[in-house]
Amino acid sequence: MQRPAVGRRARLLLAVVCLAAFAVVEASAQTEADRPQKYSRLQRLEQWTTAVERHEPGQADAALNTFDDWSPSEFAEFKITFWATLALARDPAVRTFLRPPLPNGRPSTQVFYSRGELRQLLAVAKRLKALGENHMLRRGAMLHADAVVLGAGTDSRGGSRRSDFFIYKFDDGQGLGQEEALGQWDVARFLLEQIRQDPRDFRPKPAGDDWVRRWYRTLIAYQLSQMHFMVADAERGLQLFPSDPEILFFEGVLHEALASPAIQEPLRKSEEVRRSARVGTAGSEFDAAEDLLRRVVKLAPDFAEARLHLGRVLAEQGQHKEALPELTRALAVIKNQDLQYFGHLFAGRSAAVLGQMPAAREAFERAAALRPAAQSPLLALSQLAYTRGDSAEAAALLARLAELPALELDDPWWIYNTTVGRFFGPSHQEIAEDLRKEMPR
Amino acid sequence: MSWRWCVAAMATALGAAVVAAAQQPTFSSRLEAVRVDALVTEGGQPVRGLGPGDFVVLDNGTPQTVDLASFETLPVNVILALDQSKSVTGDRLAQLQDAARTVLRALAPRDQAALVTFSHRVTLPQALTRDSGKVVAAVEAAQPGGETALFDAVYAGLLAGLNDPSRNLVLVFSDGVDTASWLTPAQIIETAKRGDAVVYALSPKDAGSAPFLRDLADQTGGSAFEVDSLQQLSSRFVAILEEFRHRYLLSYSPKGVQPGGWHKLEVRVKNRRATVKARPGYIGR
Repeated sequence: MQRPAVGRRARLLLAVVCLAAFAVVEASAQTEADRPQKYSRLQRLEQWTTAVERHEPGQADAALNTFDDWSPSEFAEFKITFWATLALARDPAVRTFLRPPLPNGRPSTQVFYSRGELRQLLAVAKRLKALGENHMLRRGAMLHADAVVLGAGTDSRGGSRRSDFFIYKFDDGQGLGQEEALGQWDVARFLLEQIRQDPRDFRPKPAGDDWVRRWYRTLIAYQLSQMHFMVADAERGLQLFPSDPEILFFEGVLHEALASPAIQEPLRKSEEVRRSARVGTAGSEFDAAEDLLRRVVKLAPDFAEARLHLGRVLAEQGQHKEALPELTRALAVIKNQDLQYFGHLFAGRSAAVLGQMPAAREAFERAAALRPAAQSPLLALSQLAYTRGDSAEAAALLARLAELPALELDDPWWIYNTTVGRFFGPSHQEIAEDLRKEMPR
Repeated sequence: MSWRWCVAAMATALGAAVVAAAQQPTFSSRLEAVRVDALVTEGGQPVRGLGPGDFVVLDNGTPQTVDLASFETLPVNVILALDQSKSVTGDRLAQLQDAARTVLRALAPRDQAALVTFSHRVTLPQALTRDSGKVVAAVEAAQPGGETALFDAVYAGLLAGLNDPSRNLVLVFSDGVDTASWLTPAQIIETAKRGDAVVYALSPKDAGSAPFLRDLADQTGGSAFEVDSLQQLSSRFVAILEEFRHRYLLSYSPKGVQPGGWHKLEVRVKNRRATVKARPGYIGR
């Protein structure tokens, strides 16, 4: 994988960190239903279907603008209308329509359509069926993902009125407030939940679909690349694919990132956000990360990057004796320079804590050699020298740091939590390409 | 309270600095000496005129003979470690720069100042200098932006006056929590325990960095303040400098104690109900 340029680094570092809280989506939809809507529910369904038909997966085309004026309540309403349409696509004789099952387990209620609406639903159902049911569901999910990733860049809009369905933003460890969440990811996930493996079996089985697995892999990588976390969505990926090393790895790294001070500090002041965004304390997030990463290396012993992250997570929990062998094993295999840099830094820290000072020094020196313009190895070496009583060397290393012009300082450590996000681009292209191959030409 | 294990050259330098002072004290000629920086107050006011014989210093419970108790005699090194992350913008930045200018103007000609700024990057735009104008210029040139590497910056601040015989005051301001450092809080506290700088820290009320800054200040014998408004920064900075000048610098050659490891320190004033604020100990070599 190509190393990101410095400018890319800076952009990632400065990106606002977001947490999505989707705790009570249906409550939000009910309340916002009172707002006047520009389009009827059938018109929105028609717009959506046209967008799915026209959108080239993975491309920034005009279809992505479809949702520019959709409100959160319209996204929620769309799920109900789509549910009825899907029922008709599967059985055109159906005339009793229910709302989709509620996540809290409450019983679903009936929805009524006029004769004119029913005619329109049937027409749309026919168009969707023509695309192929699972293919249509995947393309729908891709459309919403692309609308965020390639379109607006966010699943939120300024001027939040509600606190139960929102994107919480923070930067430099401080809360910036919240924005109204739209629900694009929520709709995408809803669509994928309907995927079946056997047309004769009415029960959906998204867990049996490899495209869905790769979609979740892409989703979590996107979250990490942007530091924009939707924990509930990521958790669903884990529920569906609990033994997949890639999903376990991405999920483990996500929990490691959630333990970082950049996430934890703003949540210290807002327990309500912490609960609704499903983020635990730093300790519990590291525990979750450790559990997931241990499962990865058990399933895939050669997964070096997972070992690197496991080593770091163990070290963060004070388990340096266990961390060091994991890091050593990872470093023996890893070729990527940024990952090597991290490995040497982490190994240096663990060795120092264990009193292995020559090994610590060697590790930090290797990190410094890999990234001469990075400040972390110089500080680590300086601190090591000072601890052993070599003030002259400690000062000399700081002088080296002082000589580096501020703008030339470039330390991969600053974007450690986003490093796994580099998989997003290739993964996104891969699932888009798969869909394009299935499209009629 | 502050300390330093001095080599002979350092002791010579200290002696030279002290000769220039009015009190004309002399340091021990021993190769190793411990320096303890202490604030002595009675009724909230600094107590003046104390001599070496007025102090009781216990090093790991063993009484020590204080060779020197200097007051307002040694020059001061003010090392500013200022948060320049993206949360420090607009009025906040203007008030911080104003506070820095004010304290730099309050320095005596023999004093020195240095500047460490930090976002995720730690920069040392101005090393120790008697030309406070250079430091002011560096403060004004700083461009806020990025995340916060408070621990890394404090480390650089603690070592900025490492080889200078004057008394080192590290004045830290941060408005947020550390999000980018490589070094850990424990490493910084250990560094502070090995060094001789006194840390005074300021942060807005309820800032995430406040617990760390309190611990750091306590371990160096300094103080940490949480301010309601950054308009108070200038007056706070100057008050801190004033308080620092009114501290005694005690020096003794340790006897009857092992050189390495943690040394618990107790400092009292004989025959007075004075309050002594000093570091609780140091790590010896």
